[in-house]
Amino acid sequence: MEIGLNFAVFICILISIIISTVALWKAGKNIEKIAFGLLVLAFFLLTASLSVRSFNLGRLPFANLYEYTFVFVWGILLLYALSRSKLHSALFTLLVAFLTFVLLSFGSTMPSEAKPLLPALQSYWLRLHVGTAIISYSAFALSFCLAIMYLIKEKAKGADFPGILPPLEKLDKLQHLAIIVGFSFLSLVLITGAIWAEEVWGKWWSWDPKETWALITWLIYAAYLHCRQRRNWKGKKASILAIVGFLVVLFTLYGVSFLMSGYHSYI
Amino acid sequence: MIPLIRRWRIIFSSMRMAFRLLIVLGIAASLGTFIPQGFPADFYLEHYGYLLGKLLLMLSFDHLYSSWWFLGLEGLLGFNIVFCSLQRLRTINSIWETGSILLHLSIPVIFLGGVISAFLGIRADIKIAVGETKDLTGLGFPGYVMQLEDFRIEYYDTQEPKQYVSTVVLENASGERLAGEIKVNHPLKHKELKIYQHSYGWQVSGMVKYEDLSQPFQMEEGGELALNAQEGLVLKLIFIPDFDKQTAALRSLSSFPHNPRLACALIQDTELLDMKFAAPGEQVILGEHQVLFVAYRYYSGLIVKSDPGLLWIFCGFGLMVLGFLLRYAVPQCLMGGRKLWK
Repeated sequence: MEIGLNFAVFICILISIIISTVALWKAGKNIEKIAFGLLVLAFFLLTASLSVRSFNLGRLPFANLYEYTFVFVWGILLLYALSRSKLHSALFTLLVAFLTFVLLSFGSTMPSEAKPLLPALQSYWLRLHVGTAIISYSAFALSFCLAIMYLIKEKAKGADFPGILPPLEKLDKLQHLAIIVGFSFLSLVLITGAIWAEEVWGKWWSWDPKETWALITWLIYAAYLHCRQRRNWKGKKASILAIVGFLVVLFTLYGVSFLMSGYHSYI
Repeated sequence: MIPLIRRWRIIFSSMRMAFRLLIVLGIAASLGTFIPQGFPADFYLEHYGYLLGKLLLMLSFDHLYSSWWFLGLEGLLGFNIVFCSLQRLRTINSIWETGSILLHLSIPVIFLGGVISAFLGIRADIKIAVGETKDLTGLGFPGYVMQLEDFRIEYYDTQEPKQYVSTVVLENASGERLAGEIKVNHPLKHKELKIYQHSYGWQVSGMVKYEDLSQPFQMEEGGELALNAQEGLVLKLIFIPDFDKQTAALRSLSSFPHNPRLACALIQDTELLDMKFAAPGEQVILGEHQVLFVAYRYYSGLIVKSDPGLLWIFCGFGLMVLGFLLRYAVPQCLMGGRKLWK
């Protein structure tokens, strides 16, 4: 059941990639709508798949990197659908579809074996910690897509992508908004993690590689927000920093897990 | 001198400095995840070569996060935030700005809590066997006595561990008694004291006889007993809860004590001279020594701590959340139509 649903999610995203690519060159609005609809469908199918897994396990799918990757994609698709009222763009749809496709493909290579929760993970804080992380990282993922769009639009200088891309100022504002959401929730990730660490290990901060890299991510986005406010770093410079920030998010999530050992060995 | 001090104050309380500190702290923190922390000095000299190793040690890269310069950078950031916020206090004209200042001030509050923890916090690891009583006075908790009544492991159907539970009785100097369970994620709290479940293992006891001498032992499984220091002779004791008679291997079939044995290995320097398996109550002969295995029981590894800085740290967290709410979650309609983002 779960495997079948995941397969359907893959197919939807794949077709959405193809259709939104076509929509880039054929600026008719209806084609783009189909690509959007497919991603929404993928979101509902993924919701069903994660629900099935939760039901079978008797817990939320928050316990290892495989589960987290799928929930991460779920969060990106959710925020993407919610941002529809502010932004219609084939390129945005394409970038989101491509990113989620890469993440899902990568996630599928990880061990998916469903194990019962280790004693250290049996806590209400797990839900808050992972739940806030999903919102935070998904918002950063969208800011990453918006930053790429900004750079493309700026490079094109209105020549090649006239009908498809929203104005630069709008892209810049939405990117800023996404980073504010991501940064606020990242702060909650660090706070809930610290309170939980105090309950489970008796140490609210221990410079474990995962938490250190989460802090580095936080410092980068803090620098982003300050540059924007005081030094008027908008547009291109801000977009580059937003891209760097998300690459560090991915390193925190995957790089640290594969390259470094620490308390977060289960994720 | 005053203009110089003022100039420095202006430099260190500037936004430019804040930005630099954020970036430098980020880079420094990342270095600590690539360079292994807390190893003995020889490790760095061997691993990085003599010159680079010496340099790393000189700059305290082996304990980067508690090095003088890293703490100094954190201090500078705290100082910078306090001064920036004080300057902004004069020009507050909205709830959003109040939120922003609370958000910023929460960071020095958390730092302050960290400093209080570092100076006044106490933390001790203890290992206590089932039935044993330990006085915690020597660990920095005067008058406290703890007894471990029971230790058990709860399992899932798949035999994977679900929870580790220590049942303890804690008594303080004034004779107050507190009985309770300590589990992973559920520390026992009593006034300023918190006790955490950390590890567990087996403790074995028995007797070693050599000629007319007999030496009792009571130790953690896996430990070594020196028999003759001059000849480099030691007895290594490994507890096997579920012994496999067919293979007679050191590996246990399960973690349950269905068929307990004590593997007694006589070792000289690094050479294994002899090894025998003793059941409880059984005596085995190894060279000129006789080893009697009497009993086994669980011990529980607990962390006992008190941390007066924690209250500050948690207040800092609260302040940060409040700051975020006021800064970003107060809707525009309550602010007389002003724009939230410039």
